[in-house]
Amino acid sequence: MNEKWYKIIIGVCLAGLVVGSWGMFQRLAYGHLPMNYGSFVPWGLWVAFDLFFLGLTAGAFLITILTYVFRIKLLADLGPLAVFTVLVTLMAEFLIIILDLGHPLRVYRFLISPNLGSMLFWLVVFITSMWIIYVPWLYFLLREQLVLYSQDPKRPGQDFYRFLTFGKTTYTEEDRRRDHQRSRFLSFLSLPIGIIFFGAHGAIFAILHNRPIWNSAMLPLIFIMAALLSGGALITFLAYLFQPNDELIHPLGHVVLMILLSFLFLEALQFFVGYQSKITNIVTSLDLIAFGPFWWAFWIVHLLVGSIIPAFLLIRYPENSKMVAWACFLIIVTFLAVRLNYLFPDLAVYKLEGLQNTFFHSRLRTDYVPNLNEWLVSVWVTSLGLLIFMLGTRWLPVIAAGRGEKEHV
Amino acid sequence: MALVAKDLPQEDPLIRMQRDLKRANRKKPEDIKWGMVIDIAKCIGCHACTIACVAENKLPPGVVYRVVLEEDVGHYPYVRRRFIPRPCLHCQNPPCVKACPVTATWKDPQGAVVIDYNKCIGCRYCLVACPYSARTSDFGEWYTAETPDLAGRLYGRKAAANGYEAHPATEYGRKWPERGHGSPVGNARKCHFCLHRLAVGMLPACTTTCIGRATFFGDRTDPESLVYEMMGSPRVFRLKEELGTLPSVYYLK
Amino acid sequence: MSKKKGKSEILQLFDVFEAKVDRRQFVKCSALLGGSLAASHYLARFAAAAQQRGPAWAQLELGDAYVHFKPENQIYSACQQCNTQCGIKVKIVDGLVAKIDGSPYSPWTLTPHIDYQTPLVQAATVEGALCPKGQAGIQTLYDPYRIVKVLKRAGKRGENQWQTVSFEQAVSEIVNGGNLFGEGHVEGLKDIYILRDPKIAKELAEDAALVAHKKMGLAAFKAKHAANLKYLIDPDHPDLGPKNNQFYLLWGRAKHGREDVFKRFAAGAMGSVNVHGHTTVCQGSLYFTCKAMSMQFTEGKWDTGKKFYWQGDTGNAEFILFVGANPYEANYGPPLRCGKITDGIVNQGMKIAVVDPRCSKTAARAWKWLPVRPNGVAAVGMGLMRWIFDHQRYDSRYLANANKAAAKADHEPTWTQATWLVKINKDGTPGPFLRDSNLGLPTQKLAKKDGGEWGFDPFIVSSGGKFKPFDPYSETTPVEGDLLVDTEVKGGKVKSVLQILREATGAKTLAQWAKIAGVEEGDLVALAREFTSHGKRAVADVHRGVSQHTSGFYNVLVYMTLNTLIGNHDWMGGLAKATTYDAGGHKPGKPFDVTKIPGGVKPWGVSMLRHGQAYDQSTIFKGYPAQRPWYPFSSDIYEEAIPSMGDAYPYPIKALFIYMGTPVYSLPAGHKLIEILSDSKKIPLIFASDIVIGETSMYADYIFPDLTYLERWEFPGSHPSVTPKVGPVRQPVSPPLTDAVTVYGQEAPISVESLLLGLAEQLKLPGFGENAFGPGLHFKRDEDLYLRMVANLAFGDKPDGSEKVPAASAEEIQIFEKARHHLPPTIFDAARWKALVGADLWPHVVYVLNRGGRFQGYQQAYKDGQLANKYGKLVGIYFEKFTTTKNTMTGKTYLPHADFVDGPRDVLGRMLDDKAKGFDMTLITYKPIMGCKSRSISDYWLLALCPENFLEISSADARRLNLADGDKAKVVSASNEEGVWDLGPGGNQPMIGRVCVREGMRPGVVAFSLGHGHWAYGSRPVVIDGVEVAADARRGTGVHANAAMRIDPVLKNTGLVDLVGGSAVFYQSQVKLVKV
Ligand SMILES: Nc1nc2c(c(=O)[nH]1)N[C@H]1C(S)=C(S)[C@@H](COP(=O)(O)OP(=O)(O)OC[C@H]3O[C@@H](n4cnc5c(=O)[nH]c(N)nc54)[C@H](O)[C@@H]3O)O[C@H]1N2
Ligand SMILES: Nc1nc2c(c(=O)[nH]1)N[C@H]1C(S)=C(S)[C@@H](COP(=O)(O)OP(=O)(O)OC[C@H]3O[C@@H](n4cnc5c(=O)[nH]c(N)nc54)[C@H](O)[C@@H]3O)O[C@H]1N2
Ligand code: SF4
Ligand code: SF4
Ligand code: SF4
Ligand code: SF4
Ligand code: SF4
Ligand SMILES: [Mo]
Repeated sequence: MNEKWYKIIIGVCLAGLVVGSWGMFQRLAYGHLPMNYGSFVPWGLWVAFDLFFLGLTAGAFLITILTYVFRIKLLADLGPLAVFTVLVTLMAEFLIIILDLGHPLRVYRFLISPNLGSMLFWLVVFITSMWIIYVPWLYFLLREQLVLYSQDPKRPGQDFYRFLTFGKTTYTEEDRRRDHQRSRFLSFLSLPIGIIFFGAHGAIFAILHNRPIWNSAMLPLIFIMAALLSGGALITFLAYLFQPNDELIHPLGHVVLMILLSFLFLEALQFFVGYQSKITNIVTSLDLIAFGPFWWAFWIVHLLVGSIIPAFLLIRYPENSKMVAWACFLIIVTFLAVRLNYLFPDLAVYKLEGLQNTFFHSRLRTDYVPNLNEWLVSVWVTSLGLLIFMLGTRWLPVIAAGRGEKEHV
Repeated sequence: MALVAKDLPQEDPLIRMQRDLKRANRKKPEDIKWGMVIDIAKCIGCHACTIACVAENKLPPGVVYRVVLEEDVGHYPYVRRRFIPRPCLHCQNPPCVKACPVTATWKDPQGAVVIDYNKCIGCRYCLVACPYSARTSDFGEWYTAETPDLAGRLYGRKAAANGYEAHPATEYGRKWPERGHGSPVGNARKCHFCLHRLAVGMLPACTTTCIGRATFFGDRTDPESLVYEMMGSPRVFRLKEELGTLPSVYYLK
Repeated sequence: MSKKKGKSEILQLFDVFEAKVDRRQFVKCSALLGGSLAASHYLARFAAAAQQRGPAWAQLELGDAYVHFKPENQIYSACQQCNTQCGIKVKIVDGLVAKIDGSPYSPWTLTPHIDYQTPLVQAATVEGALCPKGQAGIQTLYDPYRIVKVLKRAGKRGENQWQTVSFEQAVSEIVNGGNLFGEGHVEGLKDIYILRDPKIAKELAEDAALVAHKKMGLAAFKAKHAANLKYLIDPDHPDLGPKNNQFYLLWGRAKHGREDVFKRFAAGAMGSVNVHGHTTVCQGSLYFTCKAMSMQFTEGKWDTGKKFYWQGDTGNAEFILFVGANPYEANYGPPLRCGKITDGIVNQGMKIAVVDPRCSKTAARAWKWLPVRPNGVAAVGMGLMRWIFDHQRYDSRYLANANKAAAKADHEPTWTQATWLVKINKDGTPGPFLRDSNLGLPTQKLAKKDGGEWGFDPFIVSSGGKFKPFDPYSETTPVEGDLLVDTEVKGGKVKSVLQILREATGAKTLAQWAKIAGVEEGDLVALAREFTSHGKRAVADVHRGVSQHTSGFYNVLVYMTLNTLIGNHDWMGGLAKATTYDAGGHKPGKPFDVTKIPGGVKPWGVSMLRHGQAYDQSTIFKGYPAQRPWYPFSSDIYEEAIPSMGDAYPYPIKALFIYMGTPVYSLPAGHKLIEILSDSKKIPLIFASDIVIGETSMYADYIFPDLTYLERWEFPGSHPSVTPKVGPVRQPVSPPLTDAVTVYGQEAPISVESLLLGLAEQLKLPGFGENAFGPGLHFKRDEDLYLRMVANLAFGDKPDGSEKVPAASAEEIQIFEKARHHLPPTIFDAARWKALVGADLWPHVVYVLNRGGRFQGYQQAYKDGQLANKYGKLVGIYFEKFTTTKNTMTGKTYLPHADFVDGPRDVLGRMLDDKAKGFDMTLITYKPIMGCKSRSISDYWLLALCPENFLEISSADARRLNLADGDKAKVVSASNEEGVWDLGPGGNQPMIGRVCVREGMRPGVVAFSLGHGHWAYGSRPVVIDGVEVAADARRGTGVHANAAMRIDPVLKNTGLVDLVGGSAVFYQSQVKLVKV
């Protein structure tokens, strides 16, 4: 991408960090008091963001798998970038969830007293294992370039690279072969873990008793689809930014279109089944999505801007990389709406009739709207993620390492 | 027609249950299975149980363990009102426990579902998981928060807070730090069957204060106990039975 | 906390429990509570058990930090979150009130309550039921808005500008007066309390009475008392009494102990007739109807009767008809009555029916709900009686008894005038009773109680058609009479009382009564049949919904007469009355007579409320109507107090003291009082005792901080439905939160007692300080009175002391002192307390205090199917007095028996018809279970249950007025077209509330619950010493619609009133709801 854009985005990130820091201050100084979620809507905007990031992770993950497991050369150039993206989005995910905890400093509890029966526990397990896999993996992918960097006197920050290469000065064929073996191995490892990881996310909601929308086997599937969709869109977009070559973008566009359509199909299915079931709770929460106070999030943001327009662009201009990129961009930015729609309406139904009139308090109501603090914190985390990503693309050889990946995948 | 003193009420159910409780407490702890029976026909919707619980556990704003649902039925002039109290139902197959990633909450040997505030990370997954909304989270609120503090001229906020908010109740018989300095702030909280009272031979606060005498408590495995007797009633049912959560709180229609 | 410490504590507790508890009691209590093992014994076992169980993480180790259960952390007292006054067990930790629960010793919270002799250690883990308000009492004690210093107004009255002043300054300003507010000279109490010589007072009083009765000329009077005329309010009207009467002490909620101090201060010492309570805002006509029914014929004339009332014996009735009574939400009171009813319904086949325009929680769970038309409430009772007459379902055996002997013969504790013959006037109206003299028979000579004789002119019944004279109180000659008599004597018509009643109820058909009541005829039949199907174990239990009407007296009389038809008085499951142990000590043998006031001036003159006095025998008689009504049959007429001061009728008031009352908020049309209160010409000096700056005290010149019910003494007495004889005690459980001051050289917290003692000290009042109760018996601090009263309770009512409670054991005395170690010496000092009552009585006093009073056993309250504590007298259903007493507004005599009297009416007896003017809804009000008056707004826990109240209307009206749930509407009425509270200098407050549409509302009726719509009590900012005290929005929610209640068009500054029973009228105002 060109310098101008790079500077702008960095600027935006820094601005985001500055603005967001107010929210962060509120969170760190006053805990959860300044936030709007409560006991009847225990999970708010931040969990929605977590799911959003998850989607992005998924996309990146997809590329890594396609490239390194299924050896689809097409995307090979993006390999290292994708691996890096996985790490960044995981980081954001982890960060925002930690902030959502009542006692963040007690995360060690996951080790001391794990509950093997809890989906949430497994989620954490998978997040960690993803780290364990992706950190070395990225390293092995980049090592060659890092060594080069560290040897290149003209490069700023040489010592930094020297440190990263542990003073390794030469990179032999042997090294290359071994690193490739390693990354192959790790990629295989990542396949099952990743799949379960996304499944688990859906399961967290799906297993819950008498939850109108969530409690169905379809949910995990929808979650995986959603993840793939937002992720696919992300990758395509990144590809456009970093590898603007058409024979890469166009097929990606097709893939995204396919996922988008099948996702919409699943969603339609869910509404259909839901309304047919005529079970009050389900109907109420579906109504809430479609006709509730945030109807626009569904109709305008998600369906119009996030689905119909992109679909139109993808169908109408399959050969126009710019348009494809735009379509994907729209999908990504509007995807938060989808996540919110999965989270809140379900929580918005009182589990017992008349519960809202038993004991009055703002946290004992289901009409939840995220407040400024919650948005600011989300902005902060997102900005941080994006910043790290941008710097990474500049200071780490994630792009460079991509070139010429073709032959050895 | 002349009636003699023998048809006077002989013993308040509370006394009977207290005897039951003391008998239960003589058993091996692991042989006790606590149970509660709530007779809807006797509930007058006074909400005394709600407040007794709030007072016993010094619950902050937004945290409540036992609510009473009110429901109007029928049309004028044939109107009835039904009141349904809802503590934690202490499910024997508790979704909340399954949810907790760090086993900070579990079913104790007497069948009470408890939370260890010192282990709870405050993820609120159990809140999402409980089908009865029996759990609420402590966000660290204060009832006295918005009040003025003109100490010397008025009693004032600080003194009032010190009076009924600053020093947490001894839930689970434990001393908790000054409010605002750690758990239970940031934790999920819920009814614990007043274990701290049971342990010293006292009935749960919501039970002793039940002015409609609609709430019964005891060892549901003790055939001599009043709860056992009540559970035998043909009117018995449980909330959302279809979910298979197996509550140890029973209701009488 | 380490296990070690826990264990050692447990051990030492063991000693207390096991070793020292005496065997006999131990056994008894084992029976009661299944053994007396030390509570913490279990704790140990649980902790231990936790060790060897389950995986490490599954061990939830129960700590031993919970200490509420230890007897030394508990004090028994009485709740006052509402006036039910339930017994409470207050648990104290680190000097703070930690939890409040029901006292197991008190009949209020358990049925039956535990044996009075149960040792404290046994009772320590037992507790009874309290309502949510009682549970929330801690927040009344620790209310951020509580005042702790004396406040003096810094601006105009009601501007809420305050300055803190020293107690001493305030007291001396009130005593000495002066230019206190830069608004000119104000007379102090010393200028009002001028007639101090009992002898002069006596002479003036006697002659003034003669003047009033035209037995002495005014000139002669003036001549005789020339030197002393200066003491009189108005020498031309000596019968108005001395200037002392221009001090008025007005209380809202006071119980014995404090009430005694008030009477001692204002009446006994200052010699003012004006010390009055709030009865008529509450359930006045219920009291005064029963008072009239209790009038006894003694020594030739009908006495005034006793101020009391009847309620059902809740626990043992088979059928209760609740009319305008709401035991599940309010009444006296939920903990006391609900458990008995629910158990009765579910386990004993008991039935209850509720007559109420609103489907109260009681109605919602009842066998039948009759949504009565507010103004038709008495018609239900009339209908029932008509059916009972038509089907002879009354207890003729009971009603036939004309006197005591006859009743005794039937094992009936009471008898009535059902068979007594009444002379019928020419116009057909009933007159006085037929007497011997009317038949030309001689009168008899009977002995007076204290020597001498009196001429008795016997009453007459017709027995088998023959006239038969009798003595109502004869124990020896039983006389029964014919029930329904309509005959002639010497050309004059005579009828039996029952005949008169029969004709009254027969005036309309059942269908017509049903129509007036707005209920189904079939329901009336069902009710009547049920009511007469349980012998004496059925009862009609009425309260405010019946009494607070312009015809409140007759409404109540209708239902009380209904009860009389089955003669359920004093029967188990029938009508019961309250019975208490005497604390005053006037009775022979008692340890301390604290009723004596050596050197006090006997109050005399016309009271500001003109109650119990004859208008036509006063020197201010100006024909009819009088300027304001006089009240021959009621007292404590709350709604007359301040309005009468406004009109200076019968004379102006110079100083007003208000205690724990908020007439502005609580009275119908209370806003009219604001004009009077904020005018310092009308009432030059106002001082109040309050715990906050309240809706009414904000209009005072001085506010003295008081102690809440958890910091002070009182003797709450009892309620009619409490069948055992009781003597509950409220005692200090929390250290006082107000500043300490010194009065009579004693250090004590500021309280209403300290205030009055302080004033007394400076006024040098008799009955206070040295030898206040008699030689050597001083009154320098509150306990000087209260502990002696406790001693009187402990002693019992038998002169020989055989009723004395047991002495507290050494352990119990130890516990007593431990439990109070957190109380400062300004409140508690064991040695001082002991010295006060003497070493012999001390252990007995401790025994009573340890149990929060003394309570008869539940079993002892019943005997052979009857109540042990009986009324046991003539039950009056025909009031001869009424046929000769004139209504001061109409000049006509009063109706002497039960009948349906339509309303609403103004004081001239004219029907009001605001409905015709488009005010299409009848406004009613009620008490929600989670609220008490203006007071519970400080209890945030309760606000979580009900953050705001509503304007509750039927779905029919909602449709008609197109109002929906949550809509805002304004309440306007003929006498408040703007629908606002005009707070005078305090600004104003519109009566706007949210609408709540309910199926359980009678169409045409709008209800609001009491307790919201505040403009003080922390709901609006005030300024103290120039610093603004911020308001708390939570205290300002909802609507209080009293200001929409109808103002009497004649009196103009007060709401509608019941001229007989004195009731303020709450349920007969026509209003309009205006959507905003
Ligand atoms: N929760 C609570 N309990 C209290 C108190 C409190 O403040 N709060 N105060 C205590 C005191 S001081 C008192 S006096 C008692 C009062 O006790 P109650 O008199 O039993 O209670 P209220 O709510 O005043 O009124 C009784 C019922 O009268 C109904 N009513 C209104 N208008 C009419 C009518 O025209 N006809 C008929 N038949 N019914 C009507 C109301 O709907 C209400 O349900 O309560 C005591 N207990
Ligand atoms: N709309 C409507 N109005 C009603 C009723 C109703 O049902 N509906 N009910 C009526 C009835 S039954 C009654 S009894 C009256 C009661 O009305 P009031 O007799 O006037 O008394 P309360 O409302 O109890 O308020 C007493 C005031 O004293 C102050 N106070 C509180 N605690 C203490 C204390 O410990 N010491 C002192 N010194 N002051 C204290 C507070 O300012 C409080 O406002 O209200 C009547 N008003
Ligand atoms: S009621 Fe809810 S919180 Fe209680 S045990 Fe069952 S699931 Fe858990
Ligand atoms: S909130 Fe606490 S108890 Fe609930 S699931 Fe999370 S950790 Fe477990
Ligand atoms: S058992 Fe204890 S904790 Fe549970 S609801 Fe009752 S009072 Fe509250
Ligand atoms: S205390 Fe008893 S009667 Fe009152 S609401 Fe609770 S369960 Fe019902
Ligand atoms: S009824 Fe409630 S508020 Fe009234 S005295 Fe009893 S416990 Fe206290
Ligand atoms: Mo009252």
